[in-house]
Amino acid sequence: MSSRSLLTTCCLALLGAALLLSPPKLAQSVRGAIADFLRPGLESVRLVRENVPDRFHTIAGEEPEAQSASEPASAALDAEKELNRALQIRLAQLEEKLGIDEQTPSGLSSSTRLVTPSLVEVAVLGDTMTEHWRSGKLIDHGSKNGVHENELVLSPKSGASRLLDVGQQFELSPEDTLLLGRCIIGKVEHVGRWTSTFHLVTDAHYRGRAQLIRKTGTDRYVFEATGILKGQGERLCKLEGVGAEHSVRVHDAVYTADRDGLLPVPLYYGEVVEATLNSDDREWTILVAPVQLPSHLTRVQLLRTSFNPDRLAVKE
Amino acid sequence: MIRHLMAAGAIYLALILQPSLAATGVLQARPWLPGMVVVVVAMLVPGPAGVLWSGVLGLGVDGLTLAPPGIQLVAAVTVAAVLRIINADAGTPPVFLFLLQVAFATAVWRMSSILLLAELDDRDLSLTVLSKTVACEALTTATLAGCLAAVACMSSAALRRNSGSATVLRNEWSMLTGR
Repeated sequence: MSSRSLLTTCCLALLGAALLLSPPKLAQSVRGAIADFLRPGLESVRLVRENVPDRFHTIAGEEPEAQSASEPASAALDAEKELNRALQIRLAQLEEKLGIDEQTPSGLSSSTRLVTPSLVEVAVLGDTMTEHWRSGKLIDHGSKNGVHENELVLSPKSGASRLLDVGQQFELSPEDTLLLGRCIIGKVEHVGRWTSTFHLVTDAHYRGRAQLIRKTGTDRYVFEATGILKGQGERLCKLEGVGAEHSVRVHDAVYTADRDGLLPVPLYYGEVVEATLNSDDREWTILVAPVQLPSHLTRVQLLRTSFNPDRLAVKE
Repeated sequence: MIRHLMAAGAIYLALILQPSLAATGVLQARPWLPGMVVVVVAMLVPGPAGVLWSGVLGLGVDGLTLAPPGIQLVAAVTVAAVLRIINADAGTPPVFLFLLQVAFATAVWRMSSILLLAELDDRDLSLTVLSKTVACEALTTATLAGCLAAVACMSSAALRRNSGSATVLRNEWSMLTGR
């Protein structure tokens, strides 16, 4: 390779590195300029696709953005699934040990209730993808045709919230519970058309009913007081509303207190790490450590509720 | 000049067609047209201008993806530089070597860009799955390049035949008319 070619290569590689390190605004304008330059060609291809719909749709693939983003995600999926399986096995063993299953006569599938819970595995969008989605770069021409995401999901107020890659099409609703294995890690905040925002248990806006479960004697567990678990924007959550008449100890387990009885088993929040009661207090001051999240949260389970089709079916 | 125009046309065509390309059944792999075009550009345009065109191609791919811009540019330029070293003294490579280069360019480009993106995005990648996917993409691209090369060969052969008979006719006409 000649020295001029080598120099050109180095210059271009440096330009690439500079672009990579450039501020997001500059990167956006560069991408916008490229997209503008390619737009006539892309539009022509789109027109051809629309004019030859039947033939083309059978061979058409995904959009390039989705492909580029989904490849690392799909590669990471295997590792996450493996981790998930290990967690589920461990949790199943714990559950068996606790004997909670014996208290619940029916499983999720055999429920004949009008509203039944169901689990769906969803992906959490990465930071880069979330930023691009919110800035509207992922849907560059949809808004012209009335195709746009829910404002609440995209709004700057929810800028700190992370995004799930599912929305209304999965019949989600706000307050649906987010799980990692059998542990609660958050809940859905806003449901958009294709994406939804969620709060983690530790976020300041998180609120959820919780109850204490304590091990008494040999392998026996008793339900203790119930309260409201509140996120504080820190590592630890606060359990409020537990009266001074109850007994609370460090290492008590904190589970959900489901008022609707939808779930066959309570779901795990975490454990009590600090419990104080001063002489003039009417309530305990309880700090709860929620489950430790993996460093990269990519796949979670979503507990949604839906109407039981058997109950809705009209008898002839 | 014509070579530069051809390179520009090939780059633009690759960039606008790539989003609409079909996914094959094997690991959802699909041809990576920029991987093919970077080899074609390396053949068409010698010297630093070829590397520059590869950079343009990489920048165009950056504009199409959601990843931070620059990743594809670096990948494209790296691939172009490696191709230039491989083809340092050789002229136009035979078809088999061309296909091999297409597969190599696609594999290196895709692998390096995805790994870089994963590193920037703090994601753990399963290298086994990634290498399988990239290998499938490289094979698909090489197969498509083979098909296109075959079509190009047949067209040029047909063109040569037609132009040959036209020359004979013109010669006979000149002999007859003296013009």
